[in-house]
Amino acid sequence: MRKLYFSLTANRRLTDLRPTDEEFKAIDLQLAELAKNPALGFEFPFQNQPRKLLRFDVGRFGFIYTYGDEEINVVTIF
Amino acid sequence: MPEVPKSISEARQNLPSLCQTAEARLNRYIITVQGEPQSVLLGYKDYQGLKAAAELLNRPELVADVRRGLNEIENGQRMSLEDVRKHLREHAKASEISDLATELGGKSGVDADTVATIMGVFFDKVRADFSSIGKFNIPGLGSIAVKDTQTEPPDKTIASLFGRTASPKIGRRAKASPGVKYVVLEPTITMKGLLEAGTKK
Repeated sequence: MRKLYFSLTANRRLTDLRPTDEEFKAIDLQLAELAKNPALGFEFPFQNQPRKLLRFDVGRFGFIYTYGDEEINVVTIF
Repeated sequence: MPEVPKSISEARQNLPSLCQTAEARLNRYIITVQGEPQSVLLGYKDYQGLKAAAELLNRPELVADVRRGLNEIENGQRMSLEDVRKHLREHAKASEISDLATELGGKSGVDADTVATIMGVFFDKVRADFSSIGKFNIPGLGSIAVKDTQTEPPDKTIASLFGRTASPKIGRRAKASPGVKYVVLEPTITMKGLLEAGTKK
């Protein structure tokens, strides 16, 4: 299972979106699934970015992330 | 992602295999009618990826966020999920205090920042009194005293402390956290006393 990290921007955006306790529980569970299977999201092209960027939705939250062998990095949340 | 033209009759004959390769190899099939491109067959993941890219194009602030977020990750400016959780809890607590300060400030005509400062001092006093003498006196109303400490979360809610039956949903017992001690409080204030105090101006 990969370790999960959030960029400072992702953390700030999540704070702005003010998830309720229930929503955060759902996010927790879904991200745990994502950590097991990081290809769950949809890959999309982004300005010649060498890293693979993917989008994964949990309820009203859209997570944009990248991943490697050991970790998942949440780039931003909208 | 190869784009392969297919006539509509050929597409009709081979639809299952075209769907398979569209999903597995991300092929995109341009379906032609009498030699003219008319529609596109593509895999579901490919379609979702295109939708995500299109959404980004319409939201410049999101594009800026993605760039910023990628830079931060490159520079090691990132937080673990546990740190994010902690930050959210602290922020929620600060928001609650700020919302209450705004409400009380609105009612009293005192600016919210001053109210928030006084509330901070008040909460510090509550914490200090509980730590030193085990109780907190509310002038004119009574006191709330520490009755006991326990490692299991309390099964009573504030509502039940005041003699009201809490709904099973509200009264659901929380899970015990290792190393956390819970304080059982004993109020000497009654709901009647609180209501009477509320009517005195």
